[in-house]
Amino acid sequence: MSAPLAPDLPDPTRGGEPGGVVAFHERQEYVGRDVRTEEMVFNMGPQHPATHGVLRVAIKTDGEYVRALQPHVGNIHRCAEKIGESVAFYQWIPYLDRMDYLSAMCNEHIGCMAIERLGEIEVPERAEYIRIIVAEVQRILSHLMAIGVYGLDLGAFTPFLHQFRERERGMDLLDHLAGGRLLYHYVRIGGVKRDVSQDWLDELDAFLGAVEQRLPEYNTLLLHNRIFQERTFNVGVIDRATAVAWGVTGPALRAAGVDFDCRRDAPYSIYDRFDFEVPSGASGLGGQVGDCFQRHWIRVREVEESIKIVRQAVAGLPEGPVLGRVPRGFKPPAGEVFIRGENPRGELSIYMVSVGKSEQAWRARCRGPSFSNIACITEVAEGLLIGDLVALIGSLDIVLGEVDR
Amino acid sequence: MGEVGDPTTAATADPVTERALTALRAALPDAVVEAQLDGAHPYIGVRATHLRAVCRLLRDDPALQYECCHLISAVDWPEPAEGEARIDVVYHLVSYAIRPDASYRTRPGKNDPYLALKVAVPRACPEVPTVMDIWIGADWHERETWDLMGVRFTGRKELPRILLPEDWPGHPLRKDWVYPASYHGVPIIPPEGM
Amino acid sequence: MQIWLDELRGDVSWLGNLPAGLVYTLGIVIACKIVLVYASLLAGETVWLERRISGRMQARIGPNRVGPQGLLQFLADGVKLLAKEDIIPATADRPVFILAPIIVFVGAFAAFAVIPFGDGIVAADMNLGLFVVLSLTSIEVVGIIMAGWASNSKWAVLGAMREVAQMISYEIPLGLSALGIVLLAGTMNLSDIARQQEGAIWNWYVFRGPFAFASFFVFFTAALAALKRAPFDLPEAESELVAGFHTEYTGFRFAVFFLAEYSAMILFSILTAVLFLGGWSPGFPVDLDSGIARWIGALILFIKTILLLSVMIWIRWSLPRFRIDRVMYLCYKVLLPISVVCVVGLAVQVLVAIEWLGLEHAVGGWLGGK
Repeated sequence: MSAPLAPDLPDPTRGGEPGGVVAFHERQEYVGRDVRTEEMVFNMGPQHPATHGVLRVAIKTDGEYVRALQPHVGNIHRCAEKIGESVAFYQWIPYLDRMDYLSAMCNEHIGCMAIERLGEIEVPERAEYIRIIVAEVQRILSHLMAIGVYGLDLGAFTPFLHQFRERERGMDLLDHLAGGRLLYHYVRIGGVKRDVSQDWLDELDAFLGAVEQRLPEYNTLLLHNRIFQERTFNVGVIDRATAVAWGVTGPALRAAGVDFDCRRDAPYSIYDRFDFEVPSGASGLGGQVGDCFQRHWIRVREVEESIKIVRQAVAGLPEGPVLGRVPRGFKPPAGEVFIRGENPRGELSIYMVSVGKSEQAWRARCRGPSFSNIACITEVAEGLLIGDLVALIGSLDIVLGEVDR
Repeated sequence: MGEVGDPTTAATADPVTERALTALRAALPDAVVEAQLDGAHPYIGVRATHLRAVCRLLRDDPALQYECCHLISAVDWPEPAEGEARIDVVYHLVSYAIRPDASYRTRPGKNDPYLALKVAVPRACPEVPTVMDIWIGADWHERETWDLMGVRFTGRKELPRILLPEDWPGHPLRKDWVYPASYHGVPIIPPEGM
Repeated sequence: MQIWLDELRGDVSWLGNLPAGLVYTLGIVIACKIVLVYASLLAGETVWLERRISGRMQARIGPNRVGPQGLLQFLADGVKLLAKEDIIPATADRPVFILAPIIVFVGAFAAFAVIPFGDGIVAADMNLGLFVVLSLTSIEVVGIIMAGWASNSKWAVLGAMREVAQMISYEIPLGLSALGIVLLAGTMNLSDIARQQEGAIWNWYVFRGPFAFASFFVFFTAALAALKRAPFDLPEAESELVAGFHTEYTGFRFAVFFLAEYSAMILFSILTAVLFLGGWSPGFPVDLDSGIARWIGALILFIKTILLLSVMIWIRWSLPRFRIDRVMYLCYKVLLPISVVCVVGLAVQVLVAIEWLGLEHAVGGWLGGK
């Protein structure tokens, strides 16, 4: 895979003793030689450009090779679960937005579903369709961001700004609907806040067309670029066993060859009515199953599939109200509920417990997909170059707001 | 509290939980304390002492293959309706290898093939054996549960906090946790209603 | 230079009375000053060029407010950087930390002394011009490793390590591919090399056979790497090493690194144009020897320089970054063999042309000019 920097010395990534990091200069092949090297501990982050927020990774390196690493999280812990127990159900939804701030609509959607199932609230048909539309638009925006930022991580600045052009249009769309560009509070318990207009749907169609047209351009700049492929092929391989054992979900799991998507295999909302493909990693794509390239490829494919879903949802949009009747001071009966849904980054799960006769949840537990996705780098990153580690973290597309909640 | 084959619940019983329960009852008859098979959140109640055996069985049984520990949560019950104060530790397991047939997806009610395990531990001494060696992904979830809820996972090499600083007082998700007056000299003003 | 001074001494009586050595020395000092100012201005405008081009490439505008079309942006940036607090980290090695940017600056700018900007428009017309340029630019490595080490920051050390590994490696194919042209030209004097390419476009060294053509690409690629331009910008890879060797530098010290980087870009662009792309030759036979025509030649060379700079900028904003091991692979396993083959090939070409075919023109000035 990667050639050693000094060709006459044994490659430190291979032939290492199983388990435990042995200090480089104490290893057998170096004893008695003039060359003396030391391991160095780097703190990558919390203010590092490639850690996507405030992740801190302590890396032990041999020159440029990562020998061991430990991620440290919690820098922007904002007590989302504690707040969930302290405020009324409907008040918690905006906090869900702020967990994964790049997929606020999806968070709201899943959060509202959990509360609705707890309170057995019916959602009007039209609202369900609108929810699917906004959630998939959000997925497109989030993936565009992920695609562009991955380019940035690998040193290609231009695709990052190109995707912003399309993303801006999408954010304007959601802005017209919800009044906010990043955090919306648009999906409400029992439906959605505002109805969509025909003008909005026309604009949506133009946006989808623009994304569809531009996507091949991004692929020319990244996916089909020779340097990009050299950087990502066979790098940071998360194989099926590792991915599953660590609880990795979303594009990273699918890239590892697990053909699983909540939207299709555990359908929530009305996803079972739409026809779409679930891309998953395969050996014929280039690189190998579960490497950085395939994770990137999955995201590109998912944008295409999301466009399909939105088009179907717009075509099937029924007439009717968009917000069901939810009593003031809503108090769901005692019970518990577990909901998981497919966020752009993976599966967001919400486990809620209600004791009844209370406006607040007794327990509101969230599982952010990034939390489990980033945990696995302790195992995967060993033996990579620092440049590859950046490629690996970038390809997992984490949002620290969700890791720390 | 539904029994397997009980005619009143059989129609709505969740087949995924039911199958796991049958396998558990057959292999580890002492492990299961209670089971709820219908409703929005079916689960199997497991004794803490048998948790690791149960988990290993669920993972290794070729017919079940729960190869992923999706989520570990804990629920604090300082004054439950019955019994003594306890903390429920809830495990949500997922299998990607064994999946129910397509009709399960369109089933009314629970159509998500997860399996929930519940372990009730006394609130005074909340200790649960670790499952980190069974599912490595449980590592961070156990740390978080310890951090926020104060459930000790035994059998691990170390159990550091994950989200909060090491010297943070108490475990904030406990119902009786009170805001400290200050932290390292920074005064803390609790928000309204907390 | 010398011709000019001689003319000047003939025209101005009091200069004629001074000893010739003194006039030459003073003349060279003044000329170097002019070149320094010119190169600095050019470097500043290259920053503007880069920002404008990248803006166009990235669906945005770029700086357009300071001066016409934002041309004076670099002055505003310079003032801003000057006004910034000058921070030297407490644990840094102070003297080395302060000295490093100066050495980098000297290395990058001193080479301009021997660079011809046009026929006869050169501060010091040396016979060893090419050799001097390559030697002076490698001083930069010393400055950079000093900067990385003195900062006492791990990222800076790593960046400096990468820089040294990369720059020392790439100087081999860079030097070898330039050597091929020296074989053809029979001289290291850059003005002479440029003069040999006057006339038709096929006189340009890049078109003198397949080996010279390959040498051009090797030279340009190696120059990109030696300049640490993307896709070889590993020493300052912002997403990996924060800012590489100049992580800890702020204010004007940072500006000096920045300026040195851009002036080196200009330097190598001119060098590429002079060595391979005909220097000030427009590509068809025209007399550019004297008077105002000389300045037209300089303009042509300037345009070629800008075009090469634009190519560098274009490459930088289109490609992702290489990985360190791939960079080394490219150098030692791709460019080095090609450049060795090119040198041998060009040597054979020269030999065949002189010994067996008796062609003088095909090998340039080997036998005393065109």
